[in-house]
Amino acid sequence: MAKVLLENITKKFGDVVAVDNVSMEVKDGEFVVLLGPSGCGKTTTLRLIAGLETLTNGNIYIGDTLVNDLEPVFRDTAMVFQSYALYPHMTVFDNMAFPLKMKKVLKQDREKKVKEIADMLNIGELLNRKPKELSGGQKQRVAVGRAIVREPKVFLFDEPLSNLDAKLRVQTRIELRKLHEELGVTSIYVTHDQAEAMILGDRVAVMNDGRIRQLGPPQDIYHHPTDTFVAGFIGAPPMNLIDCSITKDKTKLFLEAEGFRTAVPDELEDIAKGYVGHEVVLGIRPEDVHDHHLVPDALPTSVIKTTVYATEMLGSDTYVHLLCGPHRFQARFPGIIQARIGDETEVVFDPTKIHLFNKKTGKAIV
Amino acid sequence: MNPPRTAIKTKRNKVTELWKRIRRLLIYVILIAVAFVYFTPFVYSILGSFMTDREVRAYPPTFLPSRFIPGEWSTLLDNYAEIWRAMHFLRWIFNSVLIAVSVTLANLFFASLAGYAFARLKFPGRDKFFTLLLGTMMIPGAVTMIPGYIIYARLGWLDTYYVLIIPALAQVFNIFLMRQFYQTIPEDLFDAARMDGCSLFGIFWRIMLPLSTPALAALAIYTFMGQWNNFMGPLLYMSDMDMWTIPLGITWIARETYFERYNIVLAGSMFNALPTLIVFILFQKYFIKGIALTGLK
Repeated sequence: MAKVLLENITKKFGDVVAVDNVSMEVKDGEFVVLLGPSGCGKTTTLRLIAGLETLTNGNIYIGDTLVNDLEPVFRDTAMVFQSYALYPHMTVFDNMAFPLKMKKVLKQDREKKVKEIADMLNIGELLNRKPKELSGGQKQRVAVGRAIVREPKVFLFDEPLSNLDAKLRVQTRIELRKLHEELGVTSIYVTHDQAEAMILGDRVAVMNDGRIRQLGPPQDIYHHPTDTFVAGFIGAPPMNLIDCSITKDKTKLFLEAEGFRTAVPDELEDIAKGYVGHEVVLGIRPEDVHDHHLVPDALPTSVIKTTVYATEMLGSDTYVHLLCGPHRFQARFPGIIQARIGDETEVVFDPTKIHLFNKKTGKAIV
Repeated sequence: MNPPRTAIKTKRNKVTELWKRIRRLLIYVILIAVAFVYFTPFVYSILGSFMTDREVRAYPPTFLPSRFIPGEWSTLLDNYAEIWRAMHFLRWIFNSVLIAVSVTLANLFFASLAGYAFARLKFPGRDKFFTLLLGTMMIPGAVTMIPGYIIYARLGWLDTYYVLIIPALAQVFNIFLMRQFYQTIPEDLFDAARMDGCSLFGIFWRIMLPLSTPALAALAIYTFMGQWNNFMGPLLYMSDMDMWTIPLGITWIARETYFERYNIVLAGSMFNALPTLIVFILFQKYFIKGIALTGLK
């Protein structure tokens, strides 16, 4: 086991900057998820750590060793590929034993080790089969098994669940988390699925345009996004972002936009003062939008009049799309709400959950 | 329920059913006709290889060799025997086998390695060099025939095995074929093997090669057939009869007399076609894969 340290790493493919000056430390035994939309550089970062791509700039340390110029095999990492990359002409046993064979491990030791890991992953029955005779879930386990067998210092996962169906994906991600707790090996995991990231990661690095936008524990990222990109990427449905400006009316501060006006909560007044007359982005998560009837003691100035645009009933919750002037945002109400399209309804934002972002830079003000 | 409508429906079904049958019938008629066109010369070659001189050049043509009549069975294989007895025939078989087998093996070796390098290794000028290589395929053989002859003559390769083997060791088309095939093997396998500790040659040997058997089989079949049937090469470079191959030899036997003896040519062709036929029957599966692979022929 070992920590992984990325120091200002950059990777260019011709003129395209895939990874742009990324620095990050993954602690020994930690599970870090690289999360981002496709093309954000997360897979390239992983491949740089694996040694499958060469750095344009920067340093990578695994443990205390600088690995910039080391061949993949000497970095002591193991990778689980999105396509699983099982060798089609080899049986499951040979696939799993292959890295050991390359390490020149004795035959009886290889057999023992492979059997042990196969039993752990419940694939002991499949050892004599070829990959094409396996289901997607089984292939995935074999791929994980092949990585574990080597006892690497670091596990690298490249979207290992994206080829599984939804149900199996949910099951497998819990198993992967348990496996990590059992083995305690440093893991770096790439995904574009934010639910996977929240469940698996000790910490999550949200990436976009080759840079890390925010790195922190999942709950931090969810509750305190540092910019509008992270706010809009995390959460299903994501945070509502409404462009508005801060105005002053007598002594009170307001967040105002066309057809939309709500008082700046007292908690935010001190900070909002500095932005009077400036453009800001208001962020509010759907679950923090409440029906006015349920919070009758809310300040009258903070009540927002809206029209129902659409509803999505999920049983446990109802997502209501609300229109307010030209602005559209979502609210998540518990239970089943009987709202018809065109109904007028009043909502309030939870004052402690309002986020403000600088419109120009996208950075969080609060 | 609506009975009349159901009735119409079944009637319509019957009509489409009938149409389907007619169409299938038409397709079969066309296929049989085409098969007949292709098959007749081959069948006639087999029959002709058993005929006497007089029968094979008779007009109107005869189709059944007189030697097929029970009383004539003792002479049935006379044409074949004549070829077999020709003074150099065993030597020609040996030459044919030596050249075809060595060229095929060499191409399996060189084309798979070169194809791998062009498909998966990164080196400066790779794609330009590959384009150049492909460009050589566009030069017609007739253009290089004379300069080639002069070069081989100066090297002292005429009437040696070198002249037919060495220039054919690595053929561009085969390199192209292997490169295209390796490119269809997912790159993830290559990366996985690198991470598992394979060297570049190890990846080739342990992963790429075992996965490319269909391509290798196709390559072997085409190369072997091409060499086995090669007539122009031996004709140009070999004046010593001992260095001839079967196709050249058969032509010579048939022309010993004043007139071309087609029955002997046909019998010789049967001899010549035999290995190809056997290879084809054994590797039929790969043949079809090979055609699909090249997208040609």
